[in-house]
Amino acid sequence: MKTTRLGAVLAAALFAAPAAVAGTTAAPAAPRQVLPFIEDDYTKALASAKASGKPIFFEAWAPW
Amino acid sequence: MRAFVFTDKALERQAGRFVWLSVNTEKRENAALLGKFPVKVWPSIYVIDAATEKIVLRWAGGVTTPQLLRLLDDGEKAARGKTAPGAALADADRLYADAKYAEAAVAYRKALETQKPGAPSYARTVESLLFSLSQSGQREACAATAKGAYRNLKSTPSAANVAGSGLDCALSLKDDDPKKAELVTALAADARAVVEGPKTGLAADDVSSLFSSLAEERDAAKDPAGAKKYLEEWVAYLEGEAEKAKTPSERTVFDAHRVSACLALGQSERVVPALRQSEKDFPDDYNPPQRLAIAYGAMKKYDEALAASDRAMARAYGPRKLVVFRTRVDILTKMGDAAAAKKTLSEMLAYAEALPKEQVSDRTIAAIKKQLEAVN
Repeated sequence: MKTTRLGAVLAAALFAAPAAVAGTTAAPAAPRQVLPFIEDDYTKALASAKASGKPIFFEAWAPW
Repeated sequence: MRAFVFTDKALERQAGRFVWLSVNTEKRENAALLGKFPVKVWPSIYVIDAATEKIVLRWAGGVTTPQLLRLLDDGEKAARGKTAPGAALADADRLYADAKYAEAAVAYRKALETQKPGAPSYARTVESLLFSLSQSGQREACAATAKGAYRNLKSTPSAANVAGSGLDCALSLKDDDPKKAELVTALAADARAVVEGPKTGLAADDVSSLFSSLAEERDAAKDPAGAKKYLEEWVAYLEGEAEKAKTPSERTVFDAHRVSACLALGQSERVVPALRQSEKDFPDDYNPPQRLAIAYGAMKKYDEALAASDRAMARAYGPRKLVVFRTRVDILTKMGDAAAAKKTLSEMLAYAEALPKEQVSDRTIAAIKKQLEAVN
């Protein structure tokens, strides 16, 4: 796969032509999500996961 | 994914299986976390065992809902250590999670030996193998593997990514590679079959990337008319998908690809109305004015391009702001304003050097310095 396949953008592509690094992640004002995501708080997620015995589903995204 | 997958009611029943964490990698406060869990592809999905804080499963790129459901099953098993039937796959996933791509490729091949094409994790194994091969520079193996696997996956959500990844790998082979022509021909045929066939269940960005790859293939074959045909189809496809969007969030997902496609076709003006609408819908988002700056720059409407760049600069944050600087440098250079371009490059360097080290590479800073030296 191309390192800059449009759906999966690599950091190494930061200085390619700007349009070629434009990913398809949603805009910041995202619609309602159906899963109870904890936003930007790993410590809270880790504590919750340890207490409940569940694994963490970690989504790394950027507002591109 | 945030607009189309995480809003899918089919996922509601999965809520209790995991603790769900979403991390915006652009935010300064998340920089230290990126030191612990490096992110090189956006979006990325990790399943983390809370007891050890180790990644047990990793996925690079977007997914459809059915693909995500498969990932959840595999990730939960891996985190709970219940991976006996697919131990080879779990081993591969661990190597992949550690970005040991050459070793992961070997392990994924081993995992494939134990799976029939219809097996639940077959598609995910193939896609992870292709990514591992590509990332470890094994482009011929990537193309050959995609060619072999496509026939097993042609009616699945993975079809577009397998054909596209394989075609990109094949196109990147050296021209004197004896297998290049055969691989490119076969994988271009597979890619054509995807874009010409029913696209239900396929991720729109995977399909979009296929049009781009097919145009590139025609370019490489010195067939400009053929390339233009795919670029026109690419733009039309994205416009059609955007038209189907039920909300501004869904519609704006296509903006980035539409800019790429319209620029490639030489019709940047075609995407301007959509970007202006996105800027109205999302007034705090730097992306629409940033994309307008690119489009206006390509149209040589430099005053409008700089005005859009100003708006993007005021709203951008994090490492991605470097791309806003980059676009501005490009516009100023095209205008012939070397002094302003140099000043912007200096500001860009200062901004990059002030970012947390987890959010900017030494290589990136070195590249800005090199460019700045070149204009001195």
